[in-house]
Amino acid sequence: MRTALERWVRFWDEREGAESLALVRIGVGAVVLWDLFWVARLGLIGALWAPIEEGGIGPASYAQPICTFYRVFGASSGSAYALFAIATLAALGVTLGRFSRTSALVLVFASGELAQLSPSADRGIDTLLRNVLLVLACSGAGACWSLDARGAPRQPDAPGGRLIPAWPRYLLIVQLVILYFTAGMLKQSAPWTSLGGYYALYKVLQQPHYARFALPHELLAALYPFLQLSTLLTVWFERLAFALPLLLWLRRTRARAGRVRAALNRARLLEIWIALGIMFHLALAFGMELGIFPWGCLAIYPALARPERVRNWYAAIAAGWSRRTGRREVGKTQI
Amino acid sequence: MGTPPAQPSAQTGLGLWPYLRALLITCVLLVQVISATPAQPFNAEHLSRAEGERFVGWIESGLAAIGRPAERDAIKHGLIDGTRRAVALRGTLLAPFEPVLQGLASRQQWRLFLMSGGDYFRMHVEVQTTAGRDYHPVYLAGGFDRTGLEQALRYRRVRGIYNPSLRRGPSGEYDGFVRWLARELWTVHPEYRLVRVRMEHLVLQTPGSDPGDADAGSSAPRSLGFEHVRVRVRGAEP
Repeated sequence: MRTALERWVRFWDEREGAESLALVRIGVGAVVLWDLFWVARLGLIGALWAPIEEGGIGPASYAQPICTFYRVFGASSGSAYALFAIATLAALGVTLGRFSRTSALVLVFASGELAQLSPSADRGIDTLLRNVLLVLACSGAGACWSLDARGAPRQPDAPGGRLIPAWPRYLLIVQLVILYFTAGMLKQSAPWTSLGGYYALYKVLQQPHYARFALPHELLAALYPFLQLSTLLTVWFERLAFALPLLLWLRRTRARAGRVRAALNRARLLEIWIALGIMFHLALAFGMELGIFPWGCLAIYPALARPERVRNWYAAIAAGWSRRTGRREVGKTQI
Repeated sequence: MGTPPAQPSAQTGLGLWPYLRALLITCVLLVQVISATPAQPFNAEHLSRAEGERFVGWIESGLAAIGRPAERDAIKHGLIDGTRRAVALRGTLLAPFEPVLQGLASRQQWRLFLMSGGDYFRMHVEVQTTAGRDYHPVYLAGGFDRTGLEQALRYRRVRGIYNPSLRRGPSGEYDGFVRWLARELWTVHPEYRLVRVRMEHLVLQTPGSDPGDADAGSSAPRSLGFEHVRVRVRGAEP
């Protein structure tokens, strides 16, 4: 009989297809790339990251360069633009899967440097994506759907072409659990609880710095009961994230006996939680101006799916696509 | 989901590397979990809030239920001392990893949309022209924009700089933000002599929350005036 230690070691030694992590890589890279593009489009590179003497908001200055990049290359607008260019190229590398691991590491470094140059402009989502990129840099996420994978030898016995270590995906699941569970547990103040009558979302939708639409107060008042229910659901969605590893384990071991296991799997709690998460983030993206926050969180969700499942989705989509294009071609031929 | 689970890399014996890797991953997990625990201890102010009082009440009831009743003040002191010790222990455990965590700007503190009450702010930007001393509003958050900078002002990173917290106020870079905004406006509008940025302090009215109020039923927010007022005058800038 295996010891607990050996089971623990074997768990972290597992290998699987690369599809799930490849999707996370593409999603996270694209989200960061979009954010950097948006900064450039708004003309904010200098404002956010140049030294104060050259028009930056701060806190970096000639006398206090703050970050390593500035200390080495000098605090100047040129350095700010160079750092931005490095981050952009690295994000492109992550998205396309070119030098996947190196690109992820470089992006973590560049993003960390930018964070130090403008600490208040570095939001929770930036930290989250840096954490994810660090894990991706240690993973085989570039083994699939990437430029790195083109021409790379395929493993003949691997279902998706190549097997990679599964532990980075497990760590990303832990990251999601920590993110939601701690965020949910910290929401103890009146707006989020029965103490204030669950008015948090009612408030959020009125905050002019965040709300996408200036909704009339009468409409918000009419929606108040719905917003209270949504607040309650949000808090419990976040807090119940601690059960995610258990639900994933029950799904993985569904072939084993046990009424509780069977009942919980039948109830599709895992799918319900994921669907709630997707709805929650899409609602945030629609109703509030949070930038990349909802998309950055959703980009990590493919880590919750096993690679076999992602492969099946991909095959189904590809088959549907070729059927449609095939039909059109047939139609054209008939005409 | 009926497909087989991830496969072990080898069905036979494990070498040294898998053990080492499992050890490293365990360390990473521990660091992440410890890093996710609260970094601030309770203080008297925390525990005097409604949620704090409720939490103390739960502990009081729990202790009474197991036959160990305690005074509320004693529970509060215990919580403050206990969390101080826990946070100190957290700091000690994380100290060896702090340089790495700081270097990578990595952390696990997720204070997402924590709000302490119904207070919030709305940014107003006003200008004086060379023609007179009257203030002309040019930007109202969630209202109108005559600066042409609305997209930049609503961008999440910029908002993170100016959006004030009720307790801590705006960020340390707020003055730099006002300086930048004034320069942007002066570049496009040479006729602007002065730029003023201020935050209107609003208090939320939940439907039916304040029946004694004259505006009861309107559910429109109540203004408590302006805070964090900053003024930049052209020519006075360094």
